[in-house]
Amino acid sequence: MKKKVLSILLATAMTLSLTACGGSASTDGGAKPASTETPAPANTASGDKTIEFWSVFTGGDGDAMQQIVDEYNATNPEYPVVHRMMAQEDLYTNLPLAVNAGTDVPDVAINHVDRIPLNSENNIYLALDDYIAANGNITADKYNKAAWDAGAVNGKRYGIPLDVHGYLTYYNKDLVEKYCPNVLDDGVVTFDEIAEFGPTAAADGVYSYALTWARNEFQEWYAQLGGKVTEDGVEPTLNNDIAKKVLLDWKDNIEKGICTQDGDDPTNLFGQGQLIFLPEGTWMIGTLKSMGVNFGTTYAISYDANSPLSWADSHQFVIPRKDIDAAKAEGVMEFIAYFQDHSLPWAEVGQCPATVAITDDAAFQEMPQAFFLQDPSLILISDYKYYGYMVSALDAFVAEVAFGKMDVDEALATYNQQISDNIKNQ
Amino acid sequence: MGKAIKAGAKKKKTEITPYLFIAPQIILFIVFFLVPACMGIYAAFTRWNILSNELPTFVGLDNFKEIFLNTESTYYKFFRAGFKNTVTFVLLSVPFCIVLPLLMALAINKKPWGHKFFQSLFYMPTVLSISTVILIWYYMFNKNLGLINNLFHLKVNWVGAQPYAWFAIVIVTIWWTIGQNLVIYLAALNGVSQDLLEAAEVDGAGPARKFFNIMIPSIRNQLAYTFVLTTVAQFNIYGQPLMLTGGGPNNSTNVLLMVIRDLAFPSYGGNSISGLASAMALVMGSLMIVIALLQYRFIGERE
Repeated sequence: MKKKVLSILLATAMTLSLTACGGSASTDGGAKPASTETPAPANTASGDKTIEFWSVFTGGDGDAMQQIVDEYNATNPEYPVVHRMMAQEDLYTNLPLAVNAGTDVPDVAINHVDRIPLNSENNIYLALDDYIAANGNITADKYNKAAWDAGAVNGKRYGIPLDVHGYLTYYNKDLVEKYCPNVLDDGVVTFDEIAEFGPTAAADGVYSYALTWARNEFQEWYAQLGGKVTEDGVEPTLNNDIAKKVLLDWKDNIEKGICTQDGDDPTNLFGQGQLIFLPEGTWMIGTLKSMGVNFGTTYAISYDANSPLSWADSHQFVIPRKDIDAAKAEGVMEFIAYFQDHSLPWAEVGQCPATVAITDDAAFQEMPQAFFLQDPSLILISDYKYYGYMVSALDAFVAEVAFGKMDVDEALATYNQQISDNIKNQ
Repeated sequence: MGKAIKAGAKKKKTEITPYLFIAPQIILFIVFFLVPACMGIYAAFTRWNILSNELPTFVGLDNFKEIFLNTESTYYKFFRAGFKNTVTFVLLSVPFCIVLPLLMALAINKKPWGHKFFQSLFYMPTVLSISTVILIWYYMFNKNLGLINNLFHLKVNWVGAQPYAWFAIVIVTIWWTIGQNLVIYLAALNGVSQDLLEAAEVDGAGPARKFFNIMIPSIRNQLAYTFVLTTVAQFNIYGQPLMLTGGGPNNSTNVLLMVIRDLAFPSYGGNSISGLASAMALVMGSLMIVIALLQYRFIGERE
């Protein structure tokens, strides 16, 4: 009998301990343990005195963001900021779940601007217009136009830009000197120019340009030729002759040894002096510097020297939908406005802060990515609501067609239909 | 009669204890398997954006019609391609994942010098996460800098061209998982009756005869167990092609779980298409159950 009582007790204890674990995991919104790295009690219910800030920065950019947040908190704001970094896939899964559940919703978060059209339609954000008006300091003239315009949908503003991060062309100065000394006089290298010097370089085993992140390069060249990803904002329109031309030109240059080959590692080839022009992100600046290459930066390789449209995205501040009191919302606006004049650490990790003030900063002007902010009309930021479906499709076929592994007509038809079917069945 | 009832009642009462002991496991099973599984089955008959606030809309068999009957549909094409690729991988990898560890277990079971070392060495990759494994092999397979191409003076594009992409995925999988079956076989071989083996030897049986007529029948259950588990595990292939080949070249390694995952949780944004994804998952799960049952029936213990 004793044995039985003991066993029941044990089993009950185990069961209880398990349910307790489960319970604490799902209901810890109210009172978090004191051991979290927060300067103040991290109670997220409205009315408390901290701003909960979620970002997608987990690498060196996370440290730079933390530095700015620390500097902001050191100014003794009424609402100090608690910065929580997480992997972007986690943030994009957790944010709608938190908003829809109404618990643990952050007060401000970073979202990529391409997420804003669909998320705003899904009612994930608060419109910021009233808060911006109340603050008075956040105005269009203080931000890069391309990034600022992208933060609004149907006349309502949901995002305030932190930065522009885009695709540049890095060039090896020594190789440019050797193979194409004058092509960069106008600051742009065109495909016509590449067709002239490319074969000479190829004969030496040197590639003129590279297939890196195929979806971004495709979007640039497609847009340079006047291609539209959608006409009505819903249905994709990728299956056309412009897309075909971009892909077939690319394939041709790969076959001629002018563009890098399947399986190549373009960054390494650039580092070893076997590649003249490397299309890559602004975020690669640190890596390239560490390779000791004598490099410069310019706009995207272009079909048209007058319009070297370059792909870009933008990190934006958003306020997730929740009950937020006016005073706290004002605290959030003050925090966002702080970046207008204090973004230099953000530039130092290879980003282009989206504020106009930074372009006057002498330290920023010396950075390789500085030119990128000069002409917002050359920055290509997507406002397509179904950008996510589109780039997944581009990832699946662009490089495959360029490397000759997929038929161009079949690929364009199949993947244009995939985007369209996804929209119909969502 | 009265005594019998009393005894029965008493017996019933004592039966509570074992259930209490397994209660923690049962609760975990219900919360993390049974409930999600039932929800997944229900989701297969709905249209549902899992990340939204909206409740699923019941659509009957529409999702299955889309996958199986609508030949014009994207999902018809990608389901078929994904399924074919998954089965290809199972057929390519399972034989190696059974035979190689068995041969290695036989060798180690002879207890040659250093056998403990090799046993640990072969088991070691099993403890690594898939990301670690792929990072290691990704650089080994690199066309320009990779160890393999440089060692053998090749210019093979391992992850970007067929049939090399399958070679790469199968090699990585074998290297990663070989230890699991190896330890099971080692334990099984230890249990093979020495008396039988010696008797066979006295009767003049050679090594091959001993292997096929004594060892294999003795470890039949372990073989069945590993065969079923390995097949199920390989059907669930996801990480290797996702990280190594990205589903290419020309979608030839785009396995079913990648198709399902992309629909349910689009990587770069876009609403989740959970209904169709669940329908595909349900078909895949049902097939795996049927295959596992067949395997058990044909090689499991016959009693």
